[in-house]
Amino acid sequence: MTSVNLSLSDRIKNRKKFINSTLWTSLIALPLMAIYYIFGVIMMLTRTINYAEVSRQSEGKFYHSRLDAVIVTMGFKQIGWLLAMFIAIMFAYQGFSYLFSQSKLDFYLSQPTTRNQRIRKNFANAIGTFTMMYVVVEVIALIIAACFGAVNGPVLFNVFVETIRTLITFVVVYSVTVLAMFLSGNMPTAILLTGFFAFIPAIISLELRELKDMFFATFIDRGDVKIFLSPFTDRVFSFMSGRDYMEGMNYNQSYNAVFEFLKKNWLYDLDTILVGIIAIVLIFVVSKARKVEHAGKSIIFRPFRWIVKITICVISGIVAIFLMNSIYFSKHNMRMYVLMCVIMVITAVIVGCVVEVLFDNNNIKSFNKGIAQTLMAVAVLLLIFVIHKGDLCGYDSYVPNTSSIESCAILDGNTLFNYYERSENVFSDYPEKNMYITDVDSFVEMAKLGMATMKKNKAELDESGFYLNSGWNRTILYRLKNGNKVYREIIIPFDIDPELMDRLVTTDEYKKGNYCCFGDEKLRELDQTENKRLVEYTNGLDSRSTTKLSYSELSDAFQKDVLEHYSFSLCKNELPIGQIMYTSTSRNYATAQFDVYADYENTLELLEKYDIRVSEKIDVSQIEKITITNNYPGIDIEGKTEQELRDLGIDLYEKDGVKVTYTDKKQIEQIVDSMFNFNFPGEWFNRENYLSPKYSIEINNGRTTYGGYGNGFYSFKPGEVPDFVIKDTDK
Amino acid sequence: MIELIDLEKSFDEIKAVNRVSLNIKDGEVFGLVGTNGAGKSTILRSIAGVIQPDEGVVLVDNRPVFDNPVVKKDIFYISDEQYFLPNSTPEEMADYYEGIYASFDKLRFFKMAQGFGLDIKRKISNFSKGMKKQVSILLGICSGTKYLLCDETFDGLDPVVRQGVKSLFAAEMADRGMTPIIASHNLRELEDICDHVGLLHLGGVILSEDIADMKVNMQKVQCVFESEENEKNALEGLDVMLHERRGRLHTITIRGEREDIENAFKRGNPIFFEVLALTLEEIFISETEVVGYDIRKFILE
Repeated sequence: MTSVNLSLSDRIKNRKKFINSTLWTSLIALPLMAIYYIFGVIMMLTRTINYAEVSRQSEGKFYHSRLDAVIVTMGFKQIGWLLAMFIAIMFAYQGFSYLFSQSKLDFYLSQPTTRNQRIRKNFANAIGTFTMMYVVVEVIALIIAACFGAVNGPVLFNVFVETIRTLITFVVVYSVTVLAMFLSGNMPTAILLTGFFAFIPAIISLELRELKDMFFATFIDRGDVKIFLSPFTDRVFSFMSGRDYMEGMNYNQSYNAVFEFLKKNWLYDLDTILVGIIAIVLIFVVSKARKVEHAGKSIIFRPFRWIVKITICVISGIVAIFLMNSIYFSKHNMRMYVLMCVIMVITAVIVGCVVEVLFDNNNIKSFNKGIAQTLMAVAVLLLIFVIHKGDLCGYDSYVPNTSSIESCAILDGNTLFNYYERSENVFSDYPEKNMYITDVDSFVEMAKLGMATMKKNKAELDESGFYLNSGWNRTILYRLKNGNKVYREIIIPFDIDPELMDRLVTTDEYKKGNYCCFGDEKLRELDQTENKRLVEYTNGLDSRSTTKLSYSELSDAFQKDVLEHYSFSLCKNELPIGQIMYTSTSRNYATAQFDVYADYENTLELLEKYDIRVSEKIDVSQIEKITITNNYPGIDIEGKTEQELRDLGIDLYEKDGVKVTYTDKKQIEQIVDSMFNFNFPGEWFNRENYLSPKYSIEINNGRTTYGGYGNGFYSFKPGEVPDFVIKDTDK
Repeated sequence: MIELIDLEKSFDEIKAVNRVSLNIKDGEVFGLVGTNGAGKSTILRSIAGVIQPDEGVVLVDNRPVFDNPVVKKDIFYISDEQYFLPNSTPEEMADYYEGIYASFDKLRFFKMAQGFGLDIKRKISNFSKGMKKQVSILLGICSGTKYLLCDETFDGLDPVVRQGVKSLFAAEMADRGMTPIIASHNLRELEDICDHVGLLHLGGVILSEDIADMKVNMQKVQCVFESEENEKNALEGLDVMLHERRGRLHTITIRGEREDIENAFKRGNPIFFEVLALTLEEIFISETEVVGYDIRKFILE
């Protein structure tokens, strides 16, 4: 009987036998997939039922949870793609292992088929087998889910789209692995090369980011991490954004939510597909050039071998820089940079020798081969080093063209609101989402000054190891018209033109983007529905509280004051007189702090209305004793910079102070009149001008000590230290 | 017919096949003889379409073989180290080949396997080296291909099985004109089966001739002469290739037909005269020594 006479059932039987013989790993893959998808969905749903019973969930909430369970197991929130990747690698290694064995090559390539046909057949076998297994377990899992009443149209659509995405992931990872195998002559090299393809894009991206962090003063680790040509990180990032998807409204009951998710992650999906296309094209190109006799070698094509070696050497050299940096973490003078450079070069050379030994099937005698490539790697490393050290790309002075900027923002200025949903503070990136400064020219002017100050500070820190406090540290954001975002960390100098800052800060764009109370709908809703609140006002020493003042009333009054009175000049010259702390103890823990300035008449009026205002003047009668510590007795440090003090041989971090306690009411009154309350530091106040490091003050009212570590902060105004304090403590 | 035209193949700096040209006619058993590394396997793998030559071309029935599935349908290659699918049995391999070669005869395979005492349901990995070779040979024969390439296939076969395989080859050649091409480093192994032999050394072909022609055109004579003059008279005009003396006994290898040589020897009135059968080995020794090779160094075991 010949194949031409075979019946369909015989053909299927033979096919099954062939798959069992050539792709037996499917026998491992199928149970794994069944465990993840079928048992997974059963476990998730029974867990949901159990939790619903324990927490007495409403029918609506219970239905929502059941739908969630299916999405978490099979939809956008699944991690089955990791399994798909693992199976893809397994299938590839089995399907193409013949490339590494002469006897297998003889067996397969002598058969009446072309090389391309064999590759296509292997691809078809792997993809067909995986698809069949995946679809079968998904269908069974969905039937089970349907029996639990955990499936609706949007969830089915979600699972369907995720199935397509997982199949694409499988094909791409399979292709990349096969490419690694075609470029290798033996299995260990193929495994290493698969790892190389999988992780190198991420490693390079993270190393470049680290280098920027290390060398560039204005670098800030914000914004999306961009890793291209990496299906693994694409999937990780889109999985992470699945979490955001779950936070959306009606995500499991809306078809639109699926499209929204795809819209958000299209770049990751596109990158994955692009990698797949590149890999498949390269497979067919490389397979034409690959010869049977390449079996048994390491990396078979010399140019690619060079690329791999140079890449590994460069990556290792950069890792050496990071190690050096972590050892000498603050002081980075020229001698240290030279040492860093030498260590980097030595590392690259050693790694180059090791790579050559590995390339030559662990032949130790080959360690000194490929010197040209090692030299190229060293040259690339030195170039990277020089570019970063000398900032040849102008990173620290880069300001986008004003015509290309759509809007800007100053971040990190106000972090006084917390509202937690799924363990995340929804206000954590409020300014980034809400501040749209359009006075680009003023912003750029401020940014340039801020970058220059930042660079100066970094240079000082590198040289001396000490940090200069010369301004307000802020992160700035340029939103460009092309959709890109540019972040920089700057120090806005204390001596900046207040008029310039007012043009930026004393605007509704800034105020509404900076103060979370202008986007506090969730807090208002929470306060209204739950009504579990405490509003407390404090001047740092004394406080009063109420539960009657609603959040909305408080927020409305505060918003009005901010819009009417808040300005850069106000915040630069004055400190808040007190602070309101709103706390919600309901299901979602929330807090909000409002710094109150003397000019905030609406807020103060409200505090009086609810009888929780305390005077900003400290009541001396309540103070039992004051303890003053002179941290640097006998040394006149006022008006001197840190550098000047260091030049005088004074170490500001080594304190050996003199402590004196005052209980005399007159002396206490004199001290209180001369001291400054820094409990509420404000947004733009330059405390360096007021806060002397020479003295620290602790106030005791018989119950609590204020001004000690972690409990309020007081100091003398410069030049206003009472004589008796100087006399008593400067011994 | 298989034609190798100026075939060249190098592995790194080593030239495995150096400008080899050979013609392998249909219906004859072609033997490729040579030491290890002579290029036999490389030539067979080139014919099987496994290896792409650096230069030259392999034509099978006037069609290039490399990456040409239509041509490869006519070729079954039994490599030196046979590969079988993991955990497979002879029956499963037959199933597999049934899907590969349209003319594969599974029933015949089962019968022949039974005849050779091979259990078709036993895992091949548990077979001895010789049994594995038998499975390969039977699979090759049952695939029904026109050309059967055997690389050191007879190594490890016991004499009975070897004889059985030779009979099978003969039957296949008679029934459907199969052309076996057998590579071996052992001349004696090929002597009674090959019609034509190509001798390879260091990637090149030293000679390629029909064994029958060689035997007809070369004679080995043992004789004893009364005098040197008689010896001179007898050998006059003959193409003597080798001449050994042991005492008065002469052993002489001469190129020429038997009748002409017998007539020539009558002129020398030998006391004793006998024409002996030449072995393939002896023919090769004679032929190659003439062209300057001491074949004994590298071809005889």
